[in-house]
Amino acid sequence: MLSNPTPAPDVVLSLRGLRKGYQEGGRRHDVLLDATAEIRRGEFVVLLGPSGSGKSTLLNVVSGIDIPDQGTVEVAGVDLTALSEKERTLFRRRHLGFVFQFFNLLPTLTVLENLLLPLELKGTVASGDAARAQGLLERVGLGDRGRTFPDRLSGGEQQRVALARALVHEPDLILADEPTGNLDPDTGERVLELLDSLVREDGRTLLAVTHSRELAARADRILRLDHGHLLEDPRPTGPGPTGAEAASQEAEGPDPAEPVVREP
Amino acid sequence: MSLLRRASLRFLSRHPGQLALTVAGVAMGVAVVVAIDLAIQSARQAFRVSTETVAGRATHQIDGGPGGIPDSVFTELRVDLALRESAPVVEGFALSSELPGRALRILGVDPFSEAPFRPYLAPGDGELDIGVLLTEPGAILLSRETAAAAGVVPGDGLPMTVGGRRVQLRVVGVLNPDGELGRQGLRDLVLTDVSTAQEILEMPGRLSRIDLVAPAGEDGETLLARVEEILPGGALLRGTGTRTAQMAGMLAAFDLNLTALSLLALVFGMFLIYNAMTFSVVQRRELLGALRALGVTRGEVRRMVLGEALLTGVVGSLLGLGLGVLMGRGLVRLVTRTINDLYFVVSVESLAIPATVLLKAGLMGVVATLLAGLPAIREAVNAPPRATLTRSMVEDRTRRLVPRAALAGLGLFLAGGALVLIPSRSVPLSFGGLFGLLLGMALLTPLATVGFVRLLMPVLSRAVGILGTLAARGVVASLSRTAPAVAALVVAVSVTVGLGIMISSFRGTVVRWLDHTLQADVYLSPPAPMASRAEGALSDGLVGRLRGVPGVEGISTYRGVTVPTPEGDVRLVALDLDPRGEDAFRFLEGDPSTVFGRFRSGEALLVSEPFAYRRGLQVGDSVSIPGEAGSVSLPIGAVFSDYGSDQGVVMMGRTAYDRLFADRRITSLGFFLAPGADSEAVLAELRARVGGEDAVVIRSNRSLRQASLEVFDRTFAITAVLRALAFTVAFIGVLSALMALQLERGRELGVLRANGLTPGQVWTLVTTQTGIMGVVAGILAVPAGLVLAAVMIFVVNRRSFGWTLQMELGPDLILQAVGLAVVGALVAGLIPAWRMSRTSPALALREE
Repeated sequence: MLSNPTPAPDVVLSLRGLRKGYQEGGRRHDVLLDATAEIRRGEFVVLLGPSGSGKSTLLNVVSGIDIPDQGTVEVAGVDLTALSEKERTLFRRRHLGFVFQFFNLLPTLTVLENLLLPLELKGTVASGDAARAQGLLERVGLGDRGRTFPDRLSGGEQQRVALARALVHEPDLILADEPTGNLDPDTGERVLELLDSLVREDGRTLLAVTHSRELAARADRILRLDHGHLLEDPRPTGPGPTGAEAASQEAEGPDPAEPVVREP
Repeated sequence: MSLLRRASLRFLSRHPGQLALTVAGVAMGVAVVVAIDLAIQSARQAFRVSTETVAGRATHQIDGGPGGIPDSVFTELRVDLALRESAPVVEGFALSSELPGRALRILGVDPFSEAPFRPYLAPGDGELDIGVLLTEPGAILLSRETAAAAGVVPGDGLPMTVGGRRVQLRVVGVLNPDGELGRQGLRDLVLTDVSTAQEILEMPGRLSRIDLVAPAGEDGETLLARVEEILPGGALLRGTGTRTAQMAGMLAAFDLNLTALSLLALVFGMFLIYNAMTFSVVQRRELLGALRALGVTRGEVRRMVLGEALLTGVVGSLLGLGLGVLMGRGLVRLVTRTINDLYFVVSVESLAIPATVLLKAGLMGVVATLLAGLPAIREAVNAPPRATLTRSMVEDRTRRLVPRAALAGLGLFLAGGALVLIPSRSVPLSFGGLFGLLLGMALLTPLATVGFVRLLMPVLSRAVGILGTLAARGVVASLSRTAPAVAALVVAVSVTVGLGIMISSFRGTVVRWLDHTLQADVYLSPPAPMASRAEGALSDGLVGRLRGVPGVEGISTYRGVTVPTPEGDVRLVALDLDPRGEDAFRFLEGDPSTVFGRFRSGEALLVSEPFAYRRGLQVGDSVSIPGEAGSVSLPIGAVFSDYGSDQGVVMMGRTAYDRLFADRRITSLGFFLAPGADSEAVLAELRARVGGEDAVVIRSNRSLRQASLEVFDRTFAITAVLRALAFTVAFIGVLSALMALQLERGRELGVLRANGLTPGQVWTLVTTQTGIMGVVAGILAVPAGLVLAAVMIFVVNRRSFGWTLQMELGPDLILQAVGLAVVGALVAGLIPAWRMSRTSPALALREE
């Protein structure tokens, strides 16, 4: 368990004493109990945990979509729990990037426009943006598909666009929720490779929730949610057989029912 | 344009069907409102313009009673009061075979007095010298348009019938009015000089009125006070605007009823918008959730969906305005005809399109769209970031809303009921109550739907098997979509059925009233410009010739006049009643055994129900009638049922009338035949005695009854059209709701298809479901329609027109309501059923 009273200057995410529960059929169900962790700039972190362990809840809390009942969430030095809903939303658009399981590209925007959306939301549309977006598209291997609408792309291609979208506005923290959960193994592997290289080349910070052993194998660190606590899995840095084994234990079995994310 | 905006616009353009439905909803609603408003405004404006054109610059006028004002009053004004700015006018209506269906207004003026009043008639001004009117007997002027319509040029003769007489007049010139207003003002005006008018209207030595220009301020008041002093009995001095305003005021209730009906179409349009917009948001819930996760604020989501609503609202309203103008051209004819049948003579040259009407309706369209879009906007704004929320959550919420909606509905229903039951005369209040009742019943629908479906479930599962259960459960499971559709169907059907009951009850009441009122065997009257009242007078010679026809046992004579009073014009009928005609009256108040004696001797009046209602009078109260021989105040002996005029009628015994007025003329006659007399022979004899000089209408009891019912049906044509329009809009709404429902269930149906359901079974499933909704709506529409009909019959009609109708319920009511709802729902379900049965299961499954 990580516990650091004064976060170092290069800490991007700091969670302290998070507690979060829901009323369910008249009784309280605690999902997070004193969850504490830190992630430093440039780290590639994977969060594991069986279904229903509260991974989605944690991701919602980290992104400011939901707020904890207790504890603090600091992203890039800003305590999200002290912000209003609107401030958290505005914070999200500037400092966070998302990769969803179901891609969630806007079907009515072209691929390039989908990439430009975070930049426009950030309010920093500059002359170089289109070129930057185009550059990213080329890096994900879709340089010639900028004018295409997402429904013309395969699942893997869509997720590659989503990766570019998550990176285009240079966020402090990228959150990925089962980024390969909806892809076949081969395509998933290619997407993971791309995610890995993009994040590392740009020195971005990534927190990925997954069941995938391949993804866990690439992580710098592995966090595990266990009965509401965040535990650090001991493992060597960088991809390796040990990490993959550790991850594989978590990745057993299907994931039929993720806990439902509720309105904050 | 921002990317968000661009994404939203592309969404709209990628769902053209949905967009078209929303736009159609706005457009239809706005169009009906605009069309009715334009039709009413056009009729009103035509009336105002022609009245103003005829009044010219006169500030005041002296109106004569039934017999007019003696010539000498004009001389007195000119000579004794030295009132130079005064002009005599003789006015009346005529018909011409050359201008069928148009009532011509005869305006007899003195060319030398005209300069201060009607500059377009001033002598020596321009190429036309109206002095020619003086030199030639029977000379008239027409406006260029009227002359062209009659196919006459200066020098041509123009035959007319005035009262019941044929006269031959000669066109000596045409007036060239400037602009649209001038053309409208002079439309159907026959201009002649005073003496010609006196001759053809049979008013020798009498004037209809004298126009005055009184200076403003104290001088004017002094002058008017002096004019008052020399006024003969029965004459009334009033501002020119006063009478016009009073006449236009007669239309208030009529307008309000049409406007309320047109608003109903807009309300149905709102349902359509609500449905289409909510659907478009529900479709995008996932996406909106993703956007929110990416950092799009609630405010930005709100602006985006609001923008879509605004866009559809504006586009729909603009289309609606265009469509409304087109529809208005058709409706103005219906509205004008009804006004002509019921209220006063007005002829509309073209549809007036005031900017204010368009602006108002356009605004209403946009506001209605935004209001109807509010739930969708709220739904969008509340879409949780990165939603894993699914439809079932929405449905959970909807089900929780059901009891609340029902409670609110009950509250609204009770409030509406209270508004309706308040003993008030306010028509807007009763419409407010009516809308409250309607909305309340609509809000009660979801609860009732759930209840009925539970009841139907066992029946269905036995009849259609598992598919029946599926279909029934589907109705409850997708309540957020099915309940509004059922509610809209209930409201549409109940309005259609309720209006139907109202019209048939009204008609039934009128039929019974006619059977009762038309007691004479043969009627004779001059052709009238207004269908609901006999105008003009029969020539003295004719009346004399018609007496003593073999086979005729008795004659009632009837003289209908308009008496100007300070409280407005009173329709007065002088009746020389044959005892056989006494049964014609159905008294609501008063003692039939004694009242006729007092009526004949001139000690009591009979007033119609609307007259008593409007003025708050009852038996024993007095009505003051200003006569030439001074004003008399007579007690009301009885109040009788009457559906001929919503303004009300006062009946006076002929002897009392003759004491009050110098007028001895007769407007129409009713002949009572001896038992066993051959009515055909009597009719033939009467026709022979009338001869060729007089153009009167002789009708048997049956044909007059028939003609009266034709007028009745004509006056309800506009209501029928509105009823159909409102139902059409509602029907499109139901169609869109059902399509949305089935499209949403695409995946579910895909799963069923994958599991082996045949296209035919999908068809059965969808049709059973829409059928269930139709049956539920139909059952609910029966009580709703009854409530609506009762309110319209006993409250709205009473308050609007002052009469009491008997409610008539046929056994076909329930069949009609249920049939309409079921057929409506099934027809609306055809397209979705067809689409879903043809969709390949793979496609439906992949679309998730």
